[in-house]
Formats: sequence, C-alpha cells, structure tokens
Amino acid sequence: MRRGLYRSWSSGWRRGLAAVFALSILLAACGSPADEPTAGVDTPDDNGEDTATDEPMATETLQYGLLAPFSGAAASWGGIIEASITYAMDAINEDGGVVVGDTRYEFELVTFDHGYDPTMALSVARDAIERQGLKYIENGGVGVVDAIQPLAEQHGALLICLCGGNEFLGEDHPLTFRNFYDVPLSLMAMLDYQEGAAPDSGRRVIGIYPDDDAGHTNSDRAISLAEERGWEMTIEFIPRAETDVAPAMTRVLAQNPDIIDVGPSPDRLYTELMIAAGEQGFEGTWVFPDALHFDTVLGVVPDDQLVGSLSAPCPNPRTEAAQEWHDYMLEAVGAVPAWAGQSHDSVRLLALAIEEAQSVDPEVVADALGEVVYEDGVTAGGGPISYGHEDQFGIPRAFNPPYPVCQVQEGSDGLEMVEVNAG
Amino acid sequence: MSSEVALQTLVNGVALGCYLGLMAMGLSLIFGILRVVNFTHGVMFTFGAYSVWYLTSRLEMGYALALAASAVAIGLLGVVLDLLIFRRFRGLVLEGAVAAILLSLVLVNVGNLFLPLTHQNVRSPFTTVLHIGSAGVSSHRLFVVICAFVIVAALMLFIAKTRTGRAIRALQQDPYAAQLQGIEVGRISPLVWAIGAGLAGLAGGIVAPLQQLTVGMGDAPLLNAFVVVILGGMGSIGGAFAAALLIGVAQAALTTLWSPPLAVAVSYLAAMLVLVVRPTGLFGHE
Repeated sequence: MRRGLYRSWSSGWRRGLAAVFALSILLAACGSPADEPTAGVDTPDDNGEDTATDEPMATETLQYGLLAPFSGAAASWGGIIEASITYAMDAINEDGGVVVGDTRYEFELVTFDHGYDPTMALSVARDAIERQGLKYIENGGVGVVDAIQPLAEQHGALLICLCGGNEFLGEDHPLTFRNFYDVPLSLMAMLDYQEGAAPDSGRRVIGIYPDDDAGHTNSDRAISLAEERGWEMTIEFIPRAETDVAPAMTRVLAQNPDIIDVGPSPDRLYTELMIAAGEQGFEGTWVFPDALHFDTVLGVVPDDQLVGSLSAPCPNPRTEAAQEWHDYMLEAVGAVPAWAGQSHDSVRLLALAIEEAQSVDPEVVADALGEVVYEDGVTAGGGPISYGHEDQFGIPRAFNPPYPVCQVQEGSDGLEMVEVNAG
Repeated sequence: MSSEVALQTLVNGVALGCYLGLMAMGLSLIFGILRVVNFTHGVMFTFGAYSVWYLTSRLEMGYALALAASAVAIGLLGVVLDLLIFRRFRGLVLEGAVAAILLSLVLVNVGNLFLPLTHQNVRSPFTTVLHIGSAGVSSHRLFVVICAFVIVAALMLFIAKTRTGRAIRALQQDPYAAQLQGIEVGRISPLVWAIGAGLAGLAGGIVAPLQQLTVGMGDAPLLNAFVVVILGGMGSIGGAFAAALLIGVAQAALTTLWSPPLAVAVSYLAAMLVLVVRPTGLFGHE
C-alpha cells in the first residue's frame, strides 16, 4: 500500500515537474531578448539624448543575510538587530529601492541563527554564503567572526560585522567592515569631558573589561590613549559570565580608582558590577564607553552609583530620524540598546554605496562603501555616519560616529540621562 | 592584602559559597539518589528567576510568596520531566546525561520564545547595605547566606529524620536492597525531582535581585555547581554545602589576589584532581 502510494505520488510529481519545465521554456521564449532595452529606464534615442519611458523598471531582489544569535544566551540580540535592519529596509524599499542602471533592487532580509556559537556560525555561514550564494552578510556577535570571515572572503561576500579584533580589518580584508563605534575613542570623549568638568578630581582609571576578544582588543589602545592624555590607567579582565562579581570588585576597589571604566561589557555584567560596588562603598565615577543602557539599570543599581555616571556615545535621540527609529524600536522590540542603530545605518550606507558604485558586485561596492556618508544616521543619537579609521587600518573600514557624552543626573522626575557634551 | 580587603574577601567568599551551595544542593540530590546528571538544572534556575520576576512585576505578588510559588512551580516541572523523560533512563547514567543535555537545549529555546527579549530585574525587598567591620554587604546578599544555611539544615533534617528521608537515603545507598524492603523507586523518584528542581528554582529566585535576568544566566553557576558536587561528593547535602563554601572562599581569594579567570581555572583543576585522587569527593562515601 505504502509502495503504491509512493509510486502514485512520484509519478504525479514527475508530471508536475515536466509541466513546470514546459511552462518555463514557453515563458522564456515569449520574454524579451536580453540585449533589448529594458522598459522604464532612461535610454539614449537616435540623437543621443535621453528619453525616459513611463514603463516600470525591472525589479530584482537583493538579499541581505543576517547571521545573529536568535537562540542561546545572547538570543535577545538577534531580534533587536533584525528589527533595526527591517526598519531601514522597509524605508529604502518604500522609497523605490536601490537603482543600478536599468534595474531597481529591493532589499530582502534573510536571517540565520548562529546562537553565538562558532560551530553553528560556520554551519549557517555555509548555508548563507555557499548554498544560498548571498553576497551581503551582516554578523551580530564578536565571538563568531573567526568562523564567518574566511568563508565570506573565499566567496567574495561583503561582510559587515561586530568584529572586535583589529586583525579582522585592513588592507588584507577589504570586504570586511566594522559597524561598531570605537570603544577607546568613546572612552577618551568621556575622560576629556571629565577633565574639563572636574579638573581637580583624581586621575586613576581602572577598566573592567570582558576577558574575550572584544575586551583584549580595546584594552591596549584604551590604556595608550588615556596615558597620552595624562591619565593613569590599568585594566582588569573578567569573564562575561562571571557567577559573582563581588570578589572582582574588591580587587578593583583595593586599587583606589577615581573612575571605573566598564569597557565593552554587556549590560548584565556592568549592572552586577555596580551593585557590588554599591555594597563595597565606591564613591567615584563610572564611565560607559559602550554606552550605558539606562533603562536596564534604573531602579536596580543604587542611585548613588548611577548619579554622575558618564555614557558615550550618548544614545539620546538628537535628530528627527533618530527619534523615529527610537520610537519604532521601542514598539517593535521594547528596547533600544545604543548599538542597535548601527545595523540600521549599515544597511542605509550599503544602499548608498550600491547606488554610488552602480554595481552590486561586492568588490566594487566595498570601495564606494568606504567613501559614502549617510546624513540621517541613527547611531550615537543621530547624525551623519560613515566608515573611517584609515589611520588605523589603512582603508576606511570601521564606523566613525561622533561621541556625544551623557551624564546621569537627578531630574525633577527622578534620574535621567542628560547630554553634557556634543562630542 | 590589607585587613579590610581580607575581611571583604571572606565576606564575598561566604556569600559566593552560599550562592553555589543553593545551586548545587538540588543537583547533588538528583545525581546522588537517581544517578541523573541533570544538565537541565541551570535552566530550572533560570526559570525560577523568571518566575519570580513575572510574579512580582506582572502580578505584583510579594517577593516571599513569589519565591515559594516559583519553587513549587519549578518542582512540578521537575516531576513532569521525570515522569515523561527521565524515568526511562533510570540506571542509565550516560543516556540520562545525553537526554538532559538535549532537554536543556530544548528548554533554553522554549525560554527564548516566551521570555522577554530585554533583560529583566527583580526588585529586592532588602535594599540596605550592612557593614561587618569594614566589609560591606547588601542585606539581600545576607538574605542569600541565611537562606542557604536554613535550606541546608532543613534538607539534612528531612533526609535524616523523616520516614521519606530515610527511604531516600536507603535508595541512595543500595537501590536493590531498598526495593526489597518495599521502597518504591517510582514513588520516591518524582519526589526527589520535585525537591531538586524546586531547589534550583528557589536558588534562581533568591539570587535574582543580585543579577540581570537573561536566558543564559544559569550556565555559569551550573558549571560551578558541578565543581561543587564533584568536590563535595555526589549525593551528600552537607558535603556539597561545605564544598560550596570552600570553593566560594577560594574563588573570592584568588580573584582578589590574582584574577577572576584564574580563580575559575583553579576550581576546575581542583575538581579534576579530586576526580582522579578521590572520585567519591572530599565528603562522599563509597
């Protein structure tokens, strides 16, 4: 019986497939030849002048692969990044997509869950790049870049990533872009502000950085830049998933810091650090060079630890575009971490670069992507955004936003983040 | 190390030890008696913390009541898991462990589907900072310490003095002989799961106000709890708690004197050494 059913289904399936083939051959025969001008595109007439037709342009889909954690410990990131990208893509597509020659490209987001696990990341990268042939990839998650970048480079895909390690960028990796602000520069913006605002305060800074690629990559440069400015700085490393941070805080406080810098730490880690510091009587200033996620610490961290804390880039929306994006994110996912804007801006910059390059070839687009500026960016509270840092990597490949500084102050309705420096 | 730092380190160590002890007791109980390496323990810890968050913030329940309700709910989850899954792996340690790993992955992803994307917090009713000499400790951390001692004492009394407790002990010592005496594994097993899982849920709820809640919040303490159980001896409640205090103070001292990653590495090394030299653990019996 089962065999009979299978045979019946199989022969029906074969007949269906044959019909589809026949239909597609018929359609191909009826279609316009490739060398004929495409409808809806400006074409030169016999006199060499442009004559626009009213017919619609050919429309194609440009797939953008998001490899992010949608499961596992960092699962919350995936949905947040996806929402930010979707907002940008919807706006681009509604405005007519990206026009390259006689073709209009509409963005389509394809998501892949790497669970913040390198093995899974390699597997989904193979799916996205090898099997599905995607040429534009964004990766969310510092710890899995190693698994994705070699495959992307091997297949000539353009990779936009939270690639913390400096070894991922530069002339050897022309197709890799970092859509993340520069943590040491962000720290310097706050130290500069602090120097101006409280010139007589102590100058001892202790960093508590995560004991991973993101922490170690930023630490040496942070120390070097701080010392150039006359600050005394050391950094302690702590596992991201430390069970109890109170002993680490005792170690830090034994060194009598005036300022504690939490580096590129996740909000879970710095929340616990601040609670422990409150218990142990820290009276100095906290600085957040990866931006303070204010909503998550408010009411949890003791107020005396929060007041006076500095955050850069200040995430408060400063432009209309940033405010609209902020409102959308709040409604879509209920959270607006400072880093979420970067994925929106990455897509906006990519769209500009494709139009500028008049090509969808990643190698050509990469050159343009290093040059274009998107005026209505939402990163760092909003404003122009571009890839820069030629001095560091030889080619412009890392986000280079302004670093406005916010301070937690006591307002009439409780604590609030107030911008104190435009950056 | 100055005396102030030494005292703070000791306070930190005891607090960390009690936290690990709370986490390890349920794990030790389930392995010691049922021989199930319960990798779902970390997820139950997480679900316990989220249950307390939900009950206190969404249903505006009091913290103490939320703790009790959460422990009961997670205990019931443990019973369901035992009846549906783990009873099939009774006596099969390796297969049971693999089932537990797979189940924990499933539960984590269920958590990802239904728990909030953003990190949540539980407000503690104990907000003051107390001073023991020069050392500072929040009243909630002190609450964790008190809870750990009370729960350990209650559990030890239950195991030693009650009829059911004696049946559990008999089952741990010799399942075959216990069954010959009329002790039904099928009746005791869900009870042990209820207590073990309930303890994980309770631990999650108790430490929740000291942390931000994430779906992966149970991962790191679970690994530490395994270290504690190995050091203390599988199935020994008192041994697990003593080992937890030992590990807590050692980790606090190593972190303060050297570095946090070193403290974790030394703990794992100690567990490996104990497995090689004394597989029954420091406080366990043959």
